[in-house]
Amino acid sequence: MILELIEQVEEQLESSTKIDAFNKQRTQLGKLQNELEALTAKLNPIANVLPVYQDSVNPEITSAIRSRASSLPARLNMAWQSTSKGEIHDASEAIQSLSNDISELHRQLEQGWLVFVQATLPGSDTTQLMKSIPELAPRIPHFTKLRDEVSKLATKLPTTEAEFSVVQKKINDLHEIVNQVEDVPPSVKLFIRKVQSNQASLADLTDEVWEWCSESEDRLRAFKISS
Amino acid sequence: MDEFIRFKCWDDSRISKVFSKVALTVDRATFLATHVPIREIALDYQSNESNELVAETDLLAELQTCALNDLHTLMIIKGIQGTGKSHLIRWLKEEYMSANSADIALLIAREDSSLRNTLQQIIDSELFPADSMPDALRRLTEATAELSKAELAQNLLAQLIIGHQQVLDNKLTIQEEHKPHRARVFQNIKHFLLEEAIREHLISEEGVLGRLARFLSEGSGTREAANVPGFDAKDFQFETDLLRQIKHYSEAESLANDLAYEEKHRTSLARYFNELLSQYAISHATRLLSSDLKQMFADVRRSLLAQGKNLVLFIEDITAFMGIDQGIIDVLVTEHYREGEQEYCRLISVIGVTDAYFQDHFPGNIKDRITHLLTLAHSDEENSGLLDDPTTRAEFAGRYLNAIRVTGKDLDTWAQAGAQNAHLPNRCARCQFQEECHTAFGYIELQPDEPGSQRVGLYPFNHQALTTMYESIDTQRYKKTPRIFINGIVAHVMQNHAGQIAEGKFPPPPQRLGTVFNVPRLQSQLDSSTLSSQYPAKAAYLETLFRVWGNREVVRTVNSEGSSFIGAIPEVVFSAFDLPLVETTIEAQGAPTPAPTSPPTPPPSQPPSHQQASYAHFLDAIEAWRQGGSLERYEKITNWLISFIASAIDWESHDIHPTLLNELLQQRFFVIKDQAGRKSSSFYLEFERSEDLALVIYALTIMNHEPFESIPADQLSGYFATLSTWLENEEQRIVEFIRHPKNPTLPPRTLENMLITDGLFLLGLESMLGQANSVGEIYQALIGSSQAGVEVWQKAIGLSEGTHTSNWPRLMAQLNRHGEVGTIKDELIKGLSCSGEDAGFIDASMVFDVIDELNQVGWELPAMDLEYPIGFGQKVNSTYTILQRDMVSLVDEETRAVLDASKSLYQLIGDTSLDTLYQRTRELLGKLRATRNLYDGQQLDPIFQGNSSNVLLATQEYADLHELISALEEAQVLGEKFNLLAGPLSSYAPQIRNTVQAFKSLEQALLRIHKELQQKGNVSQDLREISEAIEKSYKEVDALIKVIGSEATN
Repeated sequence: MILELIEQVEEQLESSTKIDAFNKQRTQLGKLQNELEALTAKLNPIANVLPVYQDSVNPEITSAIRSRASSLPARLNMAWQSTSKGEIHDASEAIQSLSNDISELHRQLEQGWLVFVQATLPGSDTTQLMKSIPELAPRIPHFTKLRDEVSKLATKLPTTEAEFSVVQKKINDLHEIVNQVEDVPPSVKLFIRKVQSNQASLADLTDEVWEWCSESEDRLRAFKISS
Repeated sequence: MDEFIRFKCWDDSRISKVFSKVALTVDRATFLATHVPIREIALDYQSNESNELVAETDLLAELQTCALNDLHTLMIIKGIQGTGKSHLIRWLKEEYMSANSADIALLIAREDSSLRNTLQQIIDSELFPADSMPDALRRLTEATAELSKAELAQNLLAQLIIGHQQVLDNKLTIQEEHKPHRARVFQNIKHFLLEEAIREHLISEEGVLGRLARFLSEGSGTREAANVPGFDAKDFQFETDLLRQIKHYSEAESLANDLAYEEKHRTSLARYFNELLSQYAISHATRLLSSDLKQMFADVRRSLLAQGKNLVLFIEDITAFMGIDQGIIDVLVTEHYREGEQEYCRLISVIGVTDAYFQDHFPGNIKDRITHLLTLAHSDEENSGLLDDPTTRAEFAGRYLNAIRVTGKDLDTWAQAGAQNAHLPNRCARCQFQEECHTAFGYIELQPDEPGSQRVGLYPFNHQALTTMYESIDTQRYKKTPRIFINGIVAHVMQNHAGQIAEGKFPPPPQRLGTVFNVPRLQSQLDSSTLSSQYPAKAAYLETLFRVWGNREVVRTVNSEGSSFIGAIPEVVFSAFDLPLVETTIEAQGAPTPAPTSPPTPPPSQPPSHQQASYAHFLDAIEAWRQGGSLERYEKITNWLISFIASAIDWESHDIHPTLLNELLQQRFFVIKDQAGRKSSSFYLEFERSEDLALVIYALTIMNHEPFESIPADQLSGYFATLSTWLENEEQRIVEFIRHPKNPTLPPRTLENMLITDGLFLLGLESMLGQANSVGEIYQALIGSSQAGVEVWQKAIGLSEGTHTSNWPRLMAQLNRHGEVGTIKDELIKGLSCSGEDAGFIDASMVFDVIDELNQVGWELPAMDLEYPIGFGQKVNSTYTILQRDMVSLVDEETRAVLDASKSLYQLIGDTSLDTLYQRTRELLGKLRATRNLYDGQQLDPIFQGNSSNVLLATQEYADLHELISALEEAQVLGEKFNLLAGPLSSYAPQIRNTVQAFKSLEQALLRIHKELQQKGNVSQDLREISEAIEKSYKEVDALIKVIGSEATN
């Protein structure tokens, strides 16, 4: 009926102003929501990788992280308070500040990761030694490939524990080979370097060297006497 | 019996056996006994010779030659209906098979013309044995079963639609000249056939497909192929009711309209559908396609070849295969050798076709493959020509007459013994009256060229009787064929009248003698009068004898041998029929005597009578009509009759409206039985042929030409007496015809009643009924309205457009489409004596009666059988018919519209007072106007803020309206409703409508605003959801930060 309709419309008109205000607030809140979501996206990989990172990578950086992380809850709380009061602008600024800090934290982690991984890479003399050790020489291609892969992974911070594990395993494989080279006695290493530079003499063929060579037919055949 | 009187020399029971209408069902002996050799058969082409005339024996010899030389033969015998094709084909079959008994013969009779019967004949022939050819037999049996089904008509219709679709898809070819020329007609055919009303019409009992289905299944009941049904242009002349029922497809409606207006479209569509029927629909409905037939016959011919036998087909008429005839023709042209190898047995076929079929339906490419094309005699459309020779005529009659005089057993014995003409059993040979009978009635020679030939008498006919009846065949309706001659003349007379010889009542009166011919008149009508007066008991028989057996003159002659004849009829004939020898003068000695074996020469033409008078030709015409002929010069004669009727009847005493007299006393509405011209009106008053009427028009002719003083007094008084007596008998019929030309049995005054009724309703429709309730008030209003004239009507139509539903002015306009309203008002003024000094023919009591009657039936008009065909009566009639048909629905519709409007109004207003509602509306509109972008008040503001008195109902009006609506709801009869709607409610109609419209506009605007505001309300819901989402996000961030913080700390 017309009269009922008139009454309804009148009632609706009265609440119209309030609704306009809500409308404005809705836009602002929407923006805030977007910012928070962006923040979550940044924090997630950090939170994921941090435990592994701390355990095995670079303990030195924890102090920097702690100093930054310690202030974050309070600032977040402030933003929440502002949001609750409808002070959306203040909340937004607080969130923006948090975002900057977290970005910095992320950057530090990346840098630490790069340093860590590069530190694990073996030197070029390892490859040289492997060439003259008959049982290791065939593994040189695998070794080279592994070293290149790990070198590349150093530039990208793992975002999950799984990613981190993959890198860790490759580093371990690399080091397994390096350790075998490292196990060769120093006198033998010296002998091999001299041989490779044609400077070895019978004098360098010490008992220890002879004993190492005698451990396998391949080693004995690997070295020839020439004048 | 010693005297040749009332002699009967035949057995009645033999008549029906011998005169069978179906040549192919007569037993062999009778057939051979009655067979008259056909000696003139035109051979159209065989080799290079053309138009050679051959005899039936030549054809038989030709067939024998073809068989001997193993030649494929297709012999086509053309001829119009009844020329003896069947006889010839049967004779050829009998003779051929007696010499070639090893061949397998299949004889197909047309029987009752049904396709089902034709197929049944093939099944019964056992040409397709069940054990060796089960598939063919199954197909034939299935086809006959399909033809027996009740759904055959529907099936035909379905096949017609499919066939048409095949044409559209170019899968079936119909020659362009057989298709409708107009593209629109062709395009609309499919939907036309799919339209329910059309379908129902076509397959109904009387619809064309219903008829066709019946024909295919049951035949026509006759052997006339000319009756083969198919589509005809008139099948598409639809009744208006049917056109109204077309509602599903606009295409169907369009085509139906095209057909309604153009004969050529009806014709072309009928032609196209007939092509579809013959080329597709029937064969598919029976599921017996051309290819099937071809295959079946190919199989049987292969089988016969293996058995060393040959096939001979004798088909009486190819049209018996209607619908699958093209398939049969395909079978007939298939030769037994293919590329030098014999694949099938030899086929000789002898096929009867009508000229029309051969011309229109026999495929052109197949005509070249006919080996023998023959035409029976020199037939034309009306005359087979076969019986032009009187000797042949007599031979036909004589052989049939002989066959009913002898026993069937004797004929069988004769047939078994070789059926030699010389030994044909002959009843005359042992008849004691042979000599005097043959001398008086004539005879035929069975072997005219041989000595000692047998003579067969023509009794009870003579040569002249056979000639007269044959020459007088009504060629408008019948063709001069052997069939008509035998069945319509010889058989008819023997079956219906010859038995009366024993009673002395033969030949019967002229008008009863036969139905296919007209008995010619006597040379002088005086003779007729003389016979009536002198031999009252025998005059009719004598008149027929003179007119048919004799030379139509009642004159005695004596020939050179001293034999006496009356009307060229030997005296023995009179005594044989036990008729008196008519007393007459001897005209001449040595007058020509008809020879007993040859027919007489035609009689001289009738000498003109009444030559003395300038109007003699009228009297001749009347006399000819009196004698049974048609009435020539009837126009003037009828006009004299009408003048007499107009002046002699006291019309006033019969309450006949003078306008009606002027309109109906016209020549075209009066018909004299058997007048020579066609009737130019669909309704008319017919005067039967009678002696009285003959005398009346005779008297009127004389009286219209001769001054009364020149007519002898006794003669004149006789004329007046005749006219008076005739009028006394006819007056009531004439008056009733004038009053109700199409419904003479209706009570008087119907036209006046209708006129008043029409006037009253017109009064209501133009809203001039006002508040008139009593009979007196209505009477006054009627007079007032009629005087106001037709201008008021036109104005009222305009006004009603604003106060009623659209059908109200539409009906008003329809009622006056041909100026009916003006005529009715004029006649009412005249009738009510509203003008002029003369008293009108309608008095107040008549009006009161009509109003009373209307009140009794609640103003719901009863259907009136009266159908007044012309003039003012027609206008009154058609107006009444429209009112009777449309008023109930109009008032119903109007009532619904008013009640719906008021219901809408109540719903919108509810219990609120109108003042309050208007006030609140104005306030709200003010608030809305203050709200930016929410309300555009251009439409509503002028109504609710401005001066609304012309638009909106006032409070008092609303209250009054409420009462009227209640009255309308409670009204029981049409009259009450009509009164309210045409009167007070019509004045409120614009404001009801405007108010409803205004409130509806307001409602729509408010609903829109309400919806927009409601959507705003939904914002708060959104806000809550977003706040919750933000809180959740905060918590997530907080948790992550805590994780990071604790890890870092650790």
